Order: sequence, then structure tokens, then C-alpha cells
Amino acid sequence: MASNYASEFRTCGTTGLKVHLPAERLFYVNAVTAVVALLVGGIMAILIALTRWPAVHLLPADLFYRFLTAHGLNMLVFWIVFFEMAGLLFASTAVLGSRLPAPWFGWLNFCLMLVGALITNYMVFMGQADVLFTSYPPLKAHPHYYLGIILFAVGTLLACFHFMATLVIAKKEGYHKGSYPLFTFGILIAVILAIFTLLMGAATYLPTWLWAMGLIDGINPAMYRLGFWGFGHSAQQINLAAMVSIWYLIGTLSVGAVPINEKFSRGAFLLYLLGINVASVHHLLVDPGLSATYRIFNTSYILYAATIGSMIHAFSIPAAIEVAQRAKGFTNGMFEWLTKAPWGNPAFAGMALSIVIFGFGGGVTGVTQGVEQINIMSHNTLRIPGHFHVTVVGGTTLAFMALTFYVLPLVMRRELIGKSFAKYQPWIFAIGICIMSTGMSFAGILGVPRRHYDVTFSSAIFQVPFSATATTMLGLLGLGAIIAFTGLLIFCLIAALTAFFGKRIPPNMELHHPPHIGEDSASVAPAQA
Amino acid sequence: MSVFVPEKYWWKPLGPDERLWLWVCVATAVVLSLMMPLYNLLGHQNPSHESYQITPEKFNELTEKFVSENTVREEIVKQKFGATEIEKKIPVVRPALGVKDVYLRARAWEFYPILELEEGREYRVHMSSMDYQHGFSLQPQNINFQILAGYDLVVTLVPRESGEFYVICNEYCAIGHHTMIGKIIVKNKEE
Amino acid sequence: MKKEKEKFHAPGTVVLVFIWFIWFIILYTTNWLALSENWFLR
Repeated sequence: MASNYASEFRTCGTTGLKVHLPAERLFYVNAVTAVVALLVGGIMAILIALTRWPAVHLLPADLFYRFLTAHGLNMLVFWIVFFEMAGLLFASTAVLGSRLPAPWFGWLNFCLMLVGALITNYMVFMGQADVLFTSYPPLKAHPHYYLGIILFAVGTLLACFHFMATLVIAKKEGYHKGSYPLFTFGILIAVILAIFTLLMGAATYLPTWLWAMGLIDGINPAMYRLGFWGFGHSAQQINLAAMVSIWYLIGTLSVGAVPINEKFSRGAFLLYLLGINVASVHHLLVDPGLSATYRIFNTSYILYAATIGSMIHAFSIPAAIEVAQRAKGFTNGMFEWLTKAPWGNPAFAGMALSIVIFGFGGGVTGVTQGVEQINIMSHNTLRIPGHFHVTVVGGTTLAFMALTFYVLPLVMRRELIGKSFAKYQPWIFAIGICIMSTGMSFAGILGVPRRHYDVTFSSAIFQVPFSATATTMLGLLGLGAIIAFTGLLIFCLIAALTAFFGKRIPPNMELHHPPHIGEDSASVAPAQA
Repeated sequence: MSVFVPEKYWWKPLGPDERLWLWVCVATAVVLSLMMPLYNLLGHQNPSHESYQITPEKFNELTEKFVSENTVREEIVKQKFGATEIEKKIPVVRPALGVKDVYLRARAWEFYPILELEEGREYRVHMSSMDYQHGFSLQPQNINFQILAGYDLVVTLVPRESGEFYVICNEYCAIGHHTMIGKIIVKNKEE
Repeated sequence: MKKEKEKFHAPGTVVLVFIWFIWFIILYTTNWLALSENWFLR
């Protein structure tokens, strides 16, 4: 049966993976769309960051809120989800050597998502949906805004089912035998989380859509918040699971890391699945309407299960890299394995920076601000964006960027254009994000609210005397944003130039220049012990 | 390897460093989990767990009653709209002795009224919104609560220092969001 | 059968994660201490 499809495959010269060509084309369009969304979101980002810098205060108020809406949607939803769809295709077809069960179905999903994203973006930029990413009722957007999001979500949901179907086919048709590789396992966890999340999203957005069309009377704001965060927070856990899977993948591709203990790593992924879905109430810790017991149970006993998961990965991934490096002979002292790692390889550097930023920045601030009592001091202040920009940007986005440096030569079969820029890109982006997030966090600690156009209150009845330190911190935010935006532009340029003009690497041919950049890079696939 | 098939039997005992770290993880989770209920019992800063459903009309009525019974003076404030400047009068309300329940109404885009409280005295501050979602953000204390229409959130609060404090709205409530600000004045007992 | 003393296979990583752990403890504790200075709330 499988042989019917043999002509649709090529074998990757570097990794030895069998790549299904229809899946590859679908992968290509998803990845390209993701980068376009990243660029749009990035331009919005620099504009709003320069507005929050009081010395610059770039945009007028209406555009600030409009672009803030567009920034949230394009970054958090469209860039990340389109990229994850590409990840799903890679994890289910190339990694398992399987064919895509129904390429037409994949195209259907992609088109639904694309149309949804375009409609939503159109409504936002036409000024019909200045409701910010959360669209808390009674703020009301044009019905098409919600329709766009629903279409996008339906497309994503179908793609998740397609992923599941591929896993079934891979076994049934004999493409794959034995346990799924850890990377696929991690992505599978992300997909299960996604299905739950999207159903929660449907329960939130469908009634809101009906309300926006005037078919139902009103939306209870507390109920909406519960539903929205059941969707919105869980969505971040999809990113988390995908990001961790990518860390493992890059560890393997760059230094040949093997998970030190499959049970350990898989158990940690399972904790994500069990723990995180219910933890979304930490967005509602200072809301009316919830009991202490519910809040505490939801944020602690369940949330910390997921924290254990992340802490396990935080050990297990560097340990896998250390073991692989030590096996190569970097055994001097405690840290030779680290100093002699392929830092010149942008994928490795990006992955390592992503782990550090996520762990030292995002993880600790998340667990701290998610405490019921500490949340009193952080709810809706700039500390919150300060936290999630080091998880979802410094962590997830940076990991996705790092993976792209492998995707371009391996999947798109194009030689990287601008290798010397690529080498510095993760560093520039990471430093920018760290400065920006530090500025945000400290401004938030000093009381500066998030999502706020004018903290000098020049057109209000009172002027809050925020300290000079707070203003300096907002300047730091702007400065960091400029650096990060530079990194983002370099990434988009490299990705676009390579994807369209890069020198073609013929199929089924060994890569002369492995994707690593730098002389000290290790071989990609060392013989298995 | 993480992209290739694992060995057939991958269920293996953990190494010593994995075991050590796992114990650290579990111990952390236990301590973290205990902190919240313990602080609820022993600590003095806990989010309010008291709230009621209320219609905006009813809450407005209660606020007006509270304001008319306890107003001590009016504060004249100025607000700039481009080139023009307008003046507004906002009542300053000091709860009489024995009055514990205090009302703070959030509406696009104002907090009403200005509260004058006594240091060290306990108040039950009722907050609700007439329209959009709003945020109560007391500065520079950095105390933040979410205000929703249809819900009366009761925060029991004891001011610990005197002075003038500002209430910023920190939840986006449409285009005038950044002009929404209120004030709480705290006086010494002697004043 | 005499059991040999097991050795850490990733000693560098153990050091790294404990550095992280100390950083987390500092941050977490500082936040609680800052909170306890605030007005009394319930």
C-alpha cells in the first residue's frame, strides 16, 4: 500500500528523513505565511513600543489601541499558529517518514486559516475592532472580526485532526514502527492541548459573535473572562509544548543530543497535559465572583504540576546536550561541553538563548505573579507583558526562529543567504527582548499599567506622579524594542531572501555545507550507540 | 534521538542527578502550593473573596445614597481636551463614624467619588462598573483589582499610611481609557 | 552483588539548574516580602 506513494517522497541527505512532497509544499506555505504575520506584528510592535516611550510618544491614541490589537493577534495567534501548523506537518510526516493522508484536506485547513486571518486583520485595520486582543465584552467589534477568528480556529482544529490521522496512517501503513519519537510525542501533547483549547475558544467566541450580530442580548463579562482565558492561556501551553519539543529537536540536530531518559522527558510532557488546562484562572485572581478555594486549587495544586514539567525539561535538555558533548570528548572541567558548543550555529545559539530567557525570565516571573496574593501587585500592570514577552517572544518565537535556520536548508532546500548575519541574529533579538522585558517588568513594579496610551495623564483630571525611574524603564522598553525589532527584521530578511532567492540544494543530494555555521559544529547524525 | 525512534524499552530507572533534581522539583511544588492557603490564613494581604451580583442601576443608587450622606466638600478639577479646558466638580466623600461600607463607581471614563479615608480604619470598599470592564489600580501602593459590570466586588481594606493616592484604570475601556483616573485621600486620625 | 556508586552523568547541568533555582528562590521571596509591606487587604 505504501509503495503507491513512493514517487511522492524524497530522502533528506542530511538527516536521512523521508519527506513527503505534498506535505512539504503545505509546510512551505504555512511557514511563509507565519513569517509574513511575524513581520506585520513586528512593525506594529515597534510602533506601539515607541508610543509607550514617553519621550517619543509616536502614535495618536486611536491608532495606538488599534495597532496594539493587531500586534497581539498577528504575533500571538497568526505567526505562532501558522508556524506550529508547519511544525505539525513536520512532526507527523517527515519525522515518521509518513505520507500526509489527504493533502487536499491540508490545503482546506490552510485556506480556512488564511481567510480567517485576513478577515480579522482587515476588520482591525479598518478600525472596526478596536477591542484589543482580549475583546472583553461589552467592548464590541464588527461581527466579521469574530467570524475571522472562528474560521481561523476551525482551520486549526481540522489541521489537528489531520495530524492525528497522519499518526494513525504512519503506523497502519507501516511507515513507522515502535514508539513515536520524543519530538512527535511532544507535538502530540501540543495537539491534544490545542483541541481542548479550540473547543474552549469556540465556547467563548461563538456566543460573542452571535451577540455582535445582535442575535443574543448580552455576554456576562465574568463568564467571558473565564472562557477566554480557558482558551487564551491554554493556547500558550500549546506554544510551550511545541517550544520544548523544538528545543529537543534542535539539541539533536545541532549536537546529536539524545534524551537522557525517555521516561523523564515524556513524563514531564504528560504533566503539561494534566496540569495546565485548568491553570488559566491565574488571570482571574483579582476578579469578582470566584472563591478562594477554587482560585488556590486551580492555580497551585494544578499549576505547579506543570511547573514540575518545565523544571524537568530545564534539566533534561541541557543534560542531553552535555552528555552528547562529553561523548565527543569535551570532558575538561565542569563546563567545557558548554563553551565548546556550536555557538556559531544560529539554531543552537537561538535554542540555548531561548532556554535561558524562558527559564530565568519567563518561568520565574510566571510562577511568582501567578500566586494569588502576589497577583494583587501585578495584575494588569506592565509586569504582565514583561512576563509574557520573555516566555512567548524570548522563548517561543526565538525557538521558532532558531528552527527556521534548519528548516531553510533541510526542508526548503535553499542555501542560507546572509550566514554572517544569521550568526548574530539570535543574540541581537535575545538582547533586545531582555532589555525590553526588564524595562516593562520594573515599570510594572512601579505601578505603570499595561495597555495604556499615556502614563503622563496629560488629558486626564489628575496627573499621577510616576517616578523618574518608571519613565527611565519605559525608555528601556523602547530601546529594547528597537534592538529586538532589528533582530526580527534580520530574521525576516534572511528567511524571505533564502526562501525565494537562495541557491537550490537539489533533492536527494547530500548537503555539502551542513546547516551548521562555524567550524566547530558537530556532525548531525552520529552513529547510534 | 529526539527525532528518531527510541529503543524498544525506554522505561528505565532515573540516574542519580535526575532523581536529585526531581526531588527538588517536587519539594518546590509542595512548598509553593502551601504558600497560598497559609498566607490566606496568616497574611494580611489577600485578594477579596467577597462579591455579589448587582445591576448597574442598583449599584448606582447605592453610590448616590452613600455620596449624598457623606460628602464633606467638592473638589474642582480641570481636564484638557486639545486646546479647550473644562472644569468639573467631584464630591469628596468622607465616611462618617461607624460607616464601613464605601462605594466606588467605575464608568467610562471616571471613578466616582473621591474618597477620604482614615489611616488605620477598616473599610469595605464596594466596586462595580456601569459599562465596560475597568481596573482598580491604587498608586503608588500598586494594589490592583478587576471591576466588572454586574458584580459588586467588596475589598476590605485598611490604609496604612496617609497622603494622596491615585486610582488608575488599568483595564482597556475604549478610546478614553488613558484619561480615567480617581483619587483616594488618606488622613491621620487627628486631622 | 556489590553496587557501584552511581555517578552524575551531567554534573555541569546540575550546577546550572541549581543556579536557576537560587535565582527563583530570591525572586519569589522578594515578592512575598514586598507584598507584606502593603496595605491590609481582604
